[in-house]
Formats: sequence, structure tokens, C-alpha cells
Amino acid sequence: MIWVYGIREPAEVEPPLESLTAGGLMAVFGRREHERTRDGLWEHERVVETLITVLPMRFASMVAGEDALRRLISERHDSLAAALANVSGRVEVGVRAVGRRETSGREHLLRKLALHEPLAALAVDTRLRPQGGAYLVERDAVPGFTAAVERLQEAHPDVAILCTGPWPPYSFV
Amino acid sequence: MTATREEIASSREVALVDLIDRLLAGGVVIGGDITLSIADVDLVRVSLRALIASVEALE
Repeated sequence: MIWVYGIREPAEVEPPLESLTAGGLMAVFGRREHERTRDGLWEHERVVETLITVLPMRFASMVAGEDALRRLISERHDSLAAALANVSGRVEVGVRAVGRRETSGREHLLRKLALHEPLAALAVDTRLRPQGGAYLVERDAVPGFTAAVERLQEAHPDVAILCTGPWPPYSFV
Repeated sequence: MTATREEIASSREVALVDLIDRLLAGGVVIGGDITLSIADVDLVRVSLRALIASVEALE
């Protein structure tokens, strides 16, 4: 079995990583399996972070071998190529707000919008989920984005705004 | 200002929750000959506890 890290445009790969190319898309993989622990997750993540710009695979994506991997990439070539073009030069930033329970659903919704709208204006794409927002941001625009998060934190002192990243674009694949 | 050890530990736990969220729920999923393994439920439980702990520390 081989462990796949991500798909990107062809470029140099440092051993022990290996790569194969199908239809202009390069898959980067390794021969070792990461443990299903927090250390294993971070090990995987550190490898993915060396592959910029990359479409990251979900953790523990394993394939029988190189032929199977080549076939899988070829089958989904167009959608993978489009997703890669969308994230090129961009990174993902995660933002969550935690704090005291809001008194009403309406208040909660208004709060979410007040936090989301100024950040969405600085992002090229967004994904909102119950656990928080993911923002796709131009790499050069990250300092401006984190400054906007700091301003929002000052304007909303009763919640803690948790901002993490930059991440590979896991939410935009 | 230098971050305290507690602040650094808490930000690591916050990042861990986001890491789990991304690596196990995001990313490209490829079908076919794939064996997709989800990390132990215990790992998620540990992280949720850690998040709750860090939220309490912030309040």
C-alpha cells in the first residue's frame, strides 16, 4: 500500500517522498503509514505543508499501488485540475468564535453574520460549517486577514475568536 | 509580550481540533482501491475535552 499526501502541479519531490504524474497532475506519496494518533496527524500535516500549492488528501488515503493511483487521478482529472487551479497561490484560514451561550437564536445568527461578513469580504471563497468558518485567502492577503480578525476580537470582547492557519486548502478540494 | 506556557499549550489544543476537523473531514477523497481509515473515536473525544478546557481558560 502507498500513502497519498496530495495532488499538485509537477515539481521536485524530496526523498523519501515519491511522485507520479498523470495527465499533468502530480500525486505525492510515501511508503510509510502514519499512526492514527495526534502525532500521526501532525506528521502527515507537516509533509503536506511542504508541498505547496497542493490539493491535500484526506488523512489515511491509501492505495494498492502506483497503477491504481494513476488510474484514480486519470478518472477524476478534470475536477481535480479545476480544484487545484482554484486554490493556487491561496491558503485556508480557520475562524471559530466561542463564548457564552447567546440568549436567542436570532442573536446568535446576527453575531455569526457580524463576524463572517467582514472576513468573507477578504476571502476568495468560504465554507461555513457548524463548528466554524473556513476562508480561502490569497497567500499575500493573510496578514490583512489576521488583522481583520484582531479588529473583530476587539469589537466583540465577550467571545474568543480562534483563528488557525494558514492551512493547506482541506476545505476547498 | 511573551506567551505563557499555558497560552502556548492552549493554542496547540485549538489547532489540534482544527487539524482533526480538516484531516478527517476535509481533503480529497479518492474511491476505488482505497482503504480510508478514520482515527479512533477516542482521539476525537480527547480533542473535544481539550477544546472545552481551553475555552474555559479563555473565559
